[in-house]
Amino acid sequence: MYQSLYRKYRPKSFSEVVGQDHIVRTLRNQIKMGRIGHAYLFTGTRGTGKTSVAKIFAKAVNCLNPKDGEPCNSCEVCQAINTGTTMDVLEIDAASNNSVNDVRELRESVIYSPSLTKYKVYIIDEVHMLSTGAFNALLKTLEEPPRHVIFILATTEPEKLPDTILSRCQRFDFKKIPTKQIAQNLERICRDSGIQIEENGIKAIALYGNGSMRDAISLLEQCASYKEGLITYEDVCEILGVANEEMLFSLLDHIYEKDAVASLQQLDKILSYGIDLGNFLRSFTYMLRDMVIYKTGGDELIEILYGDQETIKAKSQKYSIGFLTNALEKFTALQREIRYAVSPVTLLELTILRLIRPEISYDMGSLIARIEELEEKINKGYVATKEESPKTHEKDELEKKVNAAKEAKEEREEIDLGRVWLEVKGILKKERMMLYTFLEKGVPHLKDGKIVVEYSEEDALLVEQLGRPENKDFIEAVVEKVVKKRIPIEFALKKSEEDLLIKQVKEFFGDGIDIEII
Amino acid sequence: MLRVYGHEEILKVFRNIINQNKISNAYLFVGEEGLGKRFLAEYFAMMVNCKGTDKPCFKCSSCVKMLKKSHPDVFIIEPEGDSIKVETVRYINAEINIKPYESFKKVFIIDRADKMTPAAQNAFLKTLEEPPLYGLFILISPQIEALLPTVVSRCNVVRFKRERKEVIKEYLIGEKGVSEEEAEVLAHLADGNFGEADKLVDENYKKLRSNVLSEIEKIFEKKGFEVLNEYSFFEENKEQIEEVLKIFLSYLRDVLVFKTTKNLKFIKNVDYIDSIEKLESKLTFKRLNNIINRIEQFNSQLKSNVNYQLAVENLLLDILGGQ
Repeated sequence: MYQSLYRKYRPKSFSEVVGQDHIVRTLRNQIKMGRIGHAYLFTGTRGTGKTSVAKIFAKAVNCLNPKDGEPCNSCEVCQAINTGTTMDVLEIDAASNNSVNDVRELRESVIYSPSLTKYKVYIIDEVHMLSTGAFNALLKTLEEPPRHVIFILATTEPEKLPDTILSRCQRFDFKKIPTKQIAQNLERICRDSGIQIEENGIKAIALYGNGSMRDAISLLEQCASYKEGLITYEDVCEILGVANEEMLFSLLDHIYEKDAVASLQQLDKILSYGIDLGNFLRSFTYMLRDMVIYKTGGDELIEILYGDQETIKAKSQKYSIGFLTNALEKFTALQREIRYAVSPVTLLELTILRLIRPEISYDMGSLIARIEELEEKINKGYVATKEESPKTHEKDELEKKVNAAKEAKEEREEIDLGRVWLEVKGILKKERMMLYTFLEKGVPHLKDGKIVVEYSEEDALLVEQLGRPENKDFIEAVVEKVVKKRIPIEFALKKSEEDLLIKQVKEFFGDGIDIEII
Repeated sequence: MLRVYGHEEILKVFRNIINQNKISNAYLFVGEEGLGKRFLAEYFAMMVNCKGTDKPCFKCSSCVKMLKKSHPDVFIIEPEGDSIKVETVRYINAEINIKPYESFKKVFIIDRADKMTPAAQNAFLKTLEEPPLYGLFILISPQIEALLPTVVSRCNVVRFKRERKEVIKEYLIGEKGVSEEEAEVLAHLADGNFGEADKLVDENYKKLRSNVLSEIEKIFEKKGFEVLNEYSFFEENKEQIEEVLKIFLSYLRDVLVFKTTKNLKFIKNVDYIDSIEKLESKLTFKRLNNIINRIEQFNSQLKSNVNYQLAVENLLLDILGGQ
């Protein structure tokens, strides 16, 4: 009868185990030298080979003619273990036998010597599910079992085991399997079972396996049952429920170009393919992360990208790093929010619109709301009614305020200071580290068409340094490069509260008086 | 249980699996509620065990028993109370070792597998991975993240998508006896979800929806503290507040999307276009954004057992205040 691929291709000897060389070598050496321990703990995420290695180890220690620490898989003992007909290798599911009584039974059976093999091997899987009582009942036996007994505990969650158990075992941590090795193994399986699939498709599956061989093989099986004949990259994307890169990049393009209609259409298209929202966000953040990393580190960091290096290289030219980090932050936050949301799609649409129209976003907050309110007042002619007020002085001030608000609004539309500043600092960091550290301490504002960077009083030295023509010119040139427009920069000390107070008082009483603070 | 609407891709996969005799030991059906996962799980079980040539034949003894829901080798597990407990899983672990009475596969359909407690999921792992070769598990869950990754990794995942509007329309006409014109509108509103379509046909839901939508209009007309009087509406609908919020959000989403794109194509609540256009001119982007976020926040507040009246009143004030 048909068996799942991940069962069929479970490794049967150490040489077939993928990606755990450090463990395999140690275990084989132990067997060759006859230094076998009595309690092992195998930990690691799902699908990294814990149970498989435990089974192989059970065979290897008992095999009648082992070669170089490998089981032969042909002798009486190996075959008995492979078919599961021997009573001497016991696989116990700790999750369903987790009570003290189960452990007591186990302790009683431990004393009987094996019938066929040299060692009696107990493989206790999912051991983190044992109850506290059960763990404690196991301690004595685990520390000093009879000579013919080996315990192998396997778990995905070692932090749930008590220290007293950990200290009695030789611990082996199974690493996530590198994507490349998963891909190689998948290719082998495809060749062996006659599955035809594009190379890109294999890569995508391996990446989605996320370090777990079983996940990857399950996915491969899904793809194989999807259709007969050649399986293409597009098929794989559809089965995985992930958007293919092209679709994601075109969505990102539309967002970057601030085209709301096209973005929503593209999103609608992506979702109509039945793409899982969680998966979509995952691929999208992977992609953004790759581009942010490439933009900051360049070719030096190319090794740690998830996606295809050439595509990332080519595509990332287009976007500014400020845009990418902003998008990455927003989408990562969204990943957390959608888990319990009433309507996740609405939140996703909202996030996209927020990126397109920064003025609706939260972070700029109340300031913008107030400007909008002012604008509304202006539009409704609220100002005109005030005109009749007798004090011309007040009127002037109101107008000034309104103008200032208008200007502020215009400026905000022209350049997004926060983003520009980030980029400027990014460039300086590479070219003039010193200036970068100086700028880090200041707070930039836009004022009368100038960028004013304020420093607190203890940083007076920095202001002096930055004010030097050669430094100032350099920074202005960088700003020009970023916004394509020359904007003068000023460095100033933040006025202390006292000064502000004096200024306010002077404004109130007029300039002609002396003020002394007592 | 005779006709499957849509889901051609999934049926194709099922046929492939069965024709090539590549039935795996565990499948996980994932997709939002109302897409027909449970229906297709039973359908798949019927196909697997069918003795006829054109599967499912609806005629052989196995199919007939499935239709009567009295098949001895098909087990359907559902949450008792609010969860599926370890005891249930232990029962499965024991039961799977007994050979099927008469069929090819012994099938366990676990509806709402996401309701399995963590202990239950852990106890399930070994059986799920290596059941006897006649064992077949079909897990059903609205979200893949709700299950332990160790469980998911042992299953073949089958994803359910929203269906095309034509399919829903056909379904409404064929199964619910809705007139062609009405089906057209409802299919648009249901947005590809059979469960939604079922709801839209339901008189109670229709009433709720029109109530909620007129309530929204009312709220935005209020001034100041008057809005607190609207609490009575929320009190009446406390039992179905999640539905209320869904309707509320889908409406506000339409307003927001319309405001940004000025394009009627994206609107879901097609029967309320006039009022959407009206509200659009009244609200700023920022306020819409805040209100939508605020409603999601309100939803999570309800889940952590806050005082209902306080939370509602707070929400109402915030909606009007817009801050």
